[in-house]
Amino acid sequence: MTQTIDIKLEIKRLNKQFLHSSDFIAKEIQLGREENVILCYYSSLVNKTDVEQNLVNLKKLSESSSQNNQNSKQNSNQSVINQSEKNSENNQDSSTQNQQLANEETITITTEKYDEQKLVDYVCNGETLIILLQSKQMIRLQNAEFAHKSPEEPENEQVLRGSHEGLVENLDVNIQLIRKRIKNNKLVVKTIQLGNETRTTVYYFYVENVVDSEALKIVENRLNAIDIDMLYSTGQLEEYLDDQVWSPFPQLLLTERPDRVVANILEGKIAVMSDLSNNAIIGPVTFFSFYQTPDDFNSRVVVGTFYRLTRLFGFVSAIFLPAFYIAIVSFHFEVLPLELANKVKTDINQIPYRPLIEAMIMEITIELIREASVRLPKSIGQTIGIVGGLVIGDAIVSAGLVSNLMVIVVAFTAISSFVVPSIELNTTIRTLRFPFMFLASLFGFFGIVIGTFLLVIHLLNLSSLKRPYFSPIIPFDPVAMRKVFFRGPYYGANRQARSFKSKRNDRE
Amino acid sequence: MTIQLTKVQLFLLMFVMQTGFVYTSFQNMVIEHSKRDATIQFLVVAVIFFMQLLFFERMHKYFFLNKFTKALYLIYWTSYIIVFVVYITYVLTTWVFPNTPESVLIAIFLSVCLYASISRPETAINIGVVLIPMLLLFLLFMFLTVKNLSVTNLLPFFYDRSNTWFMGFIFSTYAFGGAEMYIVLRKYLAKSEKMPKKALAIYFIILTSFYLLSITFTLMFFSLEELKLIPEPILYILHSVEVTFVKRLDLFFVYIWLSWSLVTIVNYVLVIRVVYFENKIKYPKVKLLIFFIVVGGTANVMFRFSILEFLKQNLVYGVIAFSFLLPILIIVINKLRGRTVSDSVKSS
Repeated sequence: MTQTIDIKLEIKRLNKQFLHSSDFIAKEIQLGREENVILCYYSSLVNKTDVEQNLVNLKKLSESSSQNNQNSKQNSNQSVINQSEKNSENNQDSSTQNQQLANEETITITTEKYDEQKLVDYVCNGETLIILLQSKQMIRLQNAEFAHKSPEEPENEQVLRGSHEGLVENLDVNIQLIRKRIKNNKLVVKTIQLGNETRTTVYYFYVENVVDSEALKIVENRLNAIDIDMLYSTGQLEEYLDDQVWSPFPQLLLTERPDRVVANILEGKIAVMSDLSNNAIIGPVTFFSFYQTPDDFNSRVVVGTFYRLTRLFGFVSAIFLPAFYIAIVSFHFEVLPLELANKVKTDINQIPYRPLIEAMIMEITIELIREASVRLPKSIGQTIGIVGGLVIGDAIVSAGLVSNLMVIVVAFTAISSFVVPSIELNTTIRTLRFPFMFLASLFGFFGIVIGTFLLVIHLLNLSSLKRPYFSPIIPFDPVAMRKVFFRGPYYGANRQARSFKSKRNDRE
Repeated sequence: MTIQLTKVQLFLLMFVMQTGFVYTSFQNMVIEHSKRDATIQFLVVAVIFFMQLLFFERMHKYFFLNKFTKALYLIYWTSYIIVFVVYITYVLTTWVFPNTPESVLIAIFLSVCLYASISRPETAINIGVVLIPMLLLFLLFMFLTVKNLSVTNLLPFFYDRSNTWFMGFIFSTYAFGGAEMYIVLRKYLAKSEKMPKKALAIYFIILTSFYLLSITFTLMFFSLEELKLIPEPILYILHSVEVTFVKRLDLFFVYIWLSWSLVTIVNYVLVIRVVYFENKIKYPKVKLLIFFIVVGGTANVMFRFSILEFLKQNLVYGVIAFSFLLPILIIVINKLRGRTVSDSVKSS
């Protein structure tokens, strides 16, 4: 009777502790013949069928265990489950029983001393808890079922050849996706809980014998230094890991592809992930890391090299082409061959605005179309593309607001910016065009040179986890530089590729 | 502020500082005096420079600057930068911006240099790398003019000597101005780096070939009479290059040269920072800002064609004094006194 009263009081206390949340379940159940226990969990985080099934099994196990106990006339203090902590022999028994108990391979069961604070953490983590008040123990059934998508190919990073799997918002699945590609005990996964309120699980991967140990130290220090109440996005995590938050350039590579994560951690980098998103944050990286895709390495050597060079050319044209056009039309008509100069002149003579305004009209239109197509459902997004590209594009020229050449320039620029395999760098490039356009409209080529100089200085000042961002161009490493521009054959490499030389740091 | 340089970084800094100021213009000053013997005279000076490099390498432990010599070099380098700023402004106003006030141009490009200079020293050290592809492009387009060159212009040697023939040797030293940087920066070379004579020889060959090419091309492209009227022969040679996809290719090279010049200023300021901010000082950024204001203001005041011509004719003596004679003098005095760099570090 006393036991029942205690249990009821404890259930009341638990409900109060969990603020009477509608999905919090705390109920009394009978385990075995003698003991009443409390079962508690968040119904939204566990599979109820699994819980019921496991309880049935647990009861059976408890009953058979107590029968055995009676038969062997052993001490009744040894309860069905809690013996695991006190007695090594029983521990083995318990684990065997647990194996039988768990119908599914993903469920793990552990027993430990009852602790109110820990119980809250475990329940919030999606575990099912059985509280044995008599013996002050609790049994943890780790069968959390957080919603996540299946490891399908990420839409943002599609490849023609190679793996079509993508990371998901689940720790175990992600670890599995990585471990399946690196079957080696040197692959280390470490977890850390961040956010005082959200208790978000963040985990990072590295390969022990190749990891850049100084960068690893920086990552660990920065993760440990995070002291916030709420961590709810990868962007937050990325900012905490960044060297310079105010730079428009991404200093860490975000990817949803497990093969890309694997390729990078095998080069000595560190991949940080969380249950918040299916993105892995990889560092330290260089500017050129953003221009590499798995396709480069899965296609023919020459083809891979060609497309890599094409992408790098895309960077130049995406930033400079509109500025170049504005500079030529506004200041340096004489650089054009005579035939072309005549055509351009005839064309732009009909336009009432300065080239900068003309370019801004088109660029802002393109940005609006892009933004609208991202926000809208796919089916409407395509319509927006057609309306924007064909209707507005044609109408804007017919209306005499923009010249034909400007449309070509802007279209070419937009295409160039989309060849970057990283969304982050893509948006950076798209943003950077505007200051260059202003400089070109003010000073022509001189403005572009000044802008380029500023851009280069900024890139030189940048670092990723204290490693030089513009490596291997600066600090200059001719051998590594060749690899940036040319994809060499695999058989040529006689050792594992490394991102940075072990002793090379940003101060060099 | 302390830095550590690799061999490649040291030579890159040297190359930029030795070519950035004078590469497009020094040829006509040499040829004006030495006529067709310019190549010979230049090579003689080049050999002297190489011997000096070897001497510097052998004696570098005896080179350190005291307060007085530091002040001398500060004045010299600052003047050198000011003259160069005036010259850049002159080229820009001549070739590209005839109507823009020169103070605006000076303010713009010095602001960029200031940004690079207040950045971390690694930025200034490494920034020269971005010039490599530009210089290759520069050379490539120079070679496109080969069909317009007349090899016979190079000969005969020692035929038409003027009274000022000897001045050819003097003006050839412009090409090797900044040689003092080797010995100033030598002590910042990483301890793991060795400096074999082969490395010095390679640097010497690259630098000399680069300059020799410009002198021979100038001689082969222009007649001696034409050269009297052309202040920047290299830019004029590039002006004559014709390609189908673009006219006025020279404009692009003016901008390449501009980038080259900006990097040179940044590198000179780096050396000033290294030498004068060796011990920690207060407000280095403010001091650099004041430095650039002084440079810009003085350059703006001095922006007269007559002043520029005077400086071009006479700065060469400063080059000879500060790049060749003063370092040797400092080394000899310290050698006689038996004082080395490590002694100076201990005493400071």
